[in-house]
Amino acid sequence: MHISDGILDPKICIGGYVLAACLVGIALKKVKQEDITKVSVVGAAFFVSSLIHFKVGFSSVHLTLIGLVGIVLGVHSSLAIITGLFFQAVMFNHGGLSTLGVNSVLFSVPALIVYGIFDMVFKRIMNHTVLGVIAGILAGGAVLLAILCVMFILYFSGEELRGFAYLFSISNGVLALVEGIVTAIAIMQILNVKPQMLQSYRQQVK
Amino acid sequence: MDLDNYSNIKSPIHSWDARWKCITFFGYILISAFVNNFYNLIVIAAASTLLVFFAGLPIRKVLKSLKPLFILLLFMVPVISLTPTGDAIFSYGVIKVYRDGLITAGIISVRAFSIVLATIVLFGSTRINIIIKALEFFKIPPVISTIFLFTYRYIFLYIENLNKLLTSAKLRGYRLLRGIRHIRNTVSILVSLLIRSYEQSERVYYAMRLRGFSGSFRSIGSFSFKWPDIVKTGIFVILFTVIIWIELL
Repeated sequence: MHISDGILDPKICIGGYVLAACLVGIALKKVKQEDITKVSVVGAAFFVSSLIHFKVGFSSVHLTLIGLVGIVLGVHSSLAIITGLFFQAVMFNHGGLSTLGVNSVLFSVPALIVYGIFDMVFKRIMNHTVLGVIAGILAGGAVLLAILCVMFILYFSGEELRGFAYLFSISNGVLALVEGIVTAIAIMQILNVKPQMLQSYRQQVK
Repeated sequence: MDLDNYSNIKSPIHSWDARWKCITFFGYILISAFVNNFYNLIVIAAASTLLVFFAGLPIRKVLKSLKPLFILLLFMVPVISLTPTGDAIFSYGVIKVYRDGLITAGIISVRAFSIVLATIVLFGSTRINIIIKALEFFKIPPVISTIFLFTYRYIFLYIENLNKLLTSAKLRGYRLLRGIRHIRNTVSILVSLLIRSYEQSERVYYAMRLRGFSGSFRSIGSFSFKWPDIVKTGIFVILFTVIIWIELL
């Protein structure tokens, strides 16, 4: 799912860093001291999720947990995502330092959208199963949105990259389904065991 | 996974002041992403390879770290070369290799190779906490540096706990990570680990508050800037100037 070093035009890389800085800036304004350890734990989970591969047919996909990160951390999700992506780039060379900004934006924006919609739904629906299914659909949609954005960037980065853009989106399409199922089950279990973990729940309690 | 294992080697790259090393390497990575000229591609590939040798990092470890990039390029280069653009330089039946695609694939490969090598050298020659401290010197908010340090710590705890849980689940006969059919078991383990870590993070925060944590970590270590650092940074500034000059020509 990540865009690697060397593929993108430097203007896009710099633009990505500027947008990522804006998202991080917004998150920093809202973050409190007690949120630091929570953001770090979810950032570590986001990092480790890239190591978990699910066998699907003859292939395998690795999770991203964008939707889950968005629902758990809300506006702080961009902090966890940029940290997780940084360590993925320096420890496993997944993604890269030159594309860290672009990748952060591609993952953070869908995570924030998921949080925004889930937060609205959470105020109206109490049933855990329904909330879990909605979270799953949103998480699947978030992955599809990220894939579409990567495809769009690759498509307009050069005529030669168009074939790769199509192949990238087809090969990652199945991830949206897996991610949706994983997030749905995870949110149902979190709602049953520790709903305080969800940003929407914490805000409602306040 | 072993970022800090090679940070104690004695080499000119290891002894470089972390602040200047960080700013120089980040500059080098950005400039490498900007390169399109054939001569510049040779320059950055040679410079990155030389950096690995000067840093004295084990070649086997460096090649192992390059594995994800090689796999990506193995998939990407044929796709880009076969995408119809401009003149075909080789054809076999319906398969045609296009010149523009092959050039783009070559440029991407060299740029990616150079940037990844520079990243490996930077993080292989400096401890992560020193890099984060150096970034603090450049005024990154303390909240971010604290999150980076905590995340780095939690990654290892998380992997250790995950392996324990996976082993115990397998011993109880659960089939994990075997596809969609067994997804529920795997997710249950991941969620229990997430909840456990989350609760642990709350306890860690309260313990830190009791010990006077105020949002950032203080360190008594300090950076020292010596004349060899000026020489090393100067060499790179000259390299940047030459690359930009050739690129503009």
